[in-house]
Amino acid sequence: MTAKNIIEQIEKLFGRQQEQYMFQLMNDALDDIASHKRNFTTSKITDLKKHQRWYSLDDDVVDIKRVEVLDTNDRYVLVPKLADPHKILREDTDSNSTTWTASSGSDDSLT
Amino acid sequence: MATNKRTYPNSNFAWYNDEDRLAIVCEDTTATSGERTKEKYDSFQGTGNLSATITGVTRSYALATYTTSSAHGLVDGDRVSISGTTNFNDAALSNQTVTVTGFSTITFGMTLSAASGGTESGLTATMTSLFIDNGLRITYTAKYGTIDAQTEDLKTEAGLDSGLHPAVVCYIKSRMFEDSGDVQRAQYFRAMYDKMVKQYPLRKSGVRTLSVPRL
Repeated sequence: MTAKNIIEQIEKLFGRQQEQYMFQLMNDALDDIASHKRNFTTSKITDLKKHQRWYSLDDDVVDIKRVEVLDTNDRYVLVPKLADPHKILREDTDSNSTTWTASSGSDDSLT
Repeated sequence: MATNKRTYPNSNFAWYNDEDRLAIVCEDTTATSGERTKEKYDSFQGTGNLSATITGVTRSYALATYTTSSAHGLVDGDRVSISGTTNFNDAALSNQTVTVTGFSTITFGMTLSAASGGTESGLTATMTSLFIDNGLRITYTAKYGTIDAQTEDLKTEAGLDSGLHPAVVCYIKSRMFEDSGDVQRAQYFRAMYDKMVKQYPLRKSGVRTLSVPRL
């Protein structure tokens, strides 16, 4: 069904309507359906960068389903999600280390 | 056919996220990590998967143009490490951003921190990327696309299944009646919309269970 088909159906009931208002209502409906159904799945491929911890997510992301890393055989391999990243990274710190140096990479702080 | 044992992601990658960012961490197998020492998990620190032999370099002020023996596969803003040049071996070359636009597939540009070094040719220097090209695939549930032209189809442009198109009509009718103050009809179409969204996807077959005839 095209936007024109929907506008024609609406205009039979309500008469002539502003096109932009119709588009706005259609997009509101799409956002509302997306928040209920969560069945529109898509993938994005990007570079895995050295020394980069954080990757920004697009505005259209509702929920991350899975993350895969390309292996040396050119296959994407599923990687696990940390249920409690604070725990694993907090225990990572070696308090006896005397050679600890500040991070030189981009923001890798926990939030 | 057997394939070589992979070398990554054996380094135990994992991910977590906050509202608008995704974090990738992996086991730090680099004993003398440049970022940190004695930490088991850190950002990815492996070697990139793009590399090329650099055969020559020319310089115009601070812009160096590198020529590779084959297509380098880089894009604007990629970071690479270069080693093996004679006059361009300053520390900055271990992590430099390249420019590709305006260059051929076997040349790329790089702005040096200091305008030094002369033309070099007959080199066997090496360029290695500081990233895995297309190395991360993120699968997510997404919002539908937006509609901003009458000719656009809700299925092909926005990604909405055809079965949910009538729900959009009901939603709009509900909003329109609400605007006109007809709350009763607005509630009617809202209830229809909610029902359609809740019940979708409908069963493809009318048979809900296996029906065994009585003998």
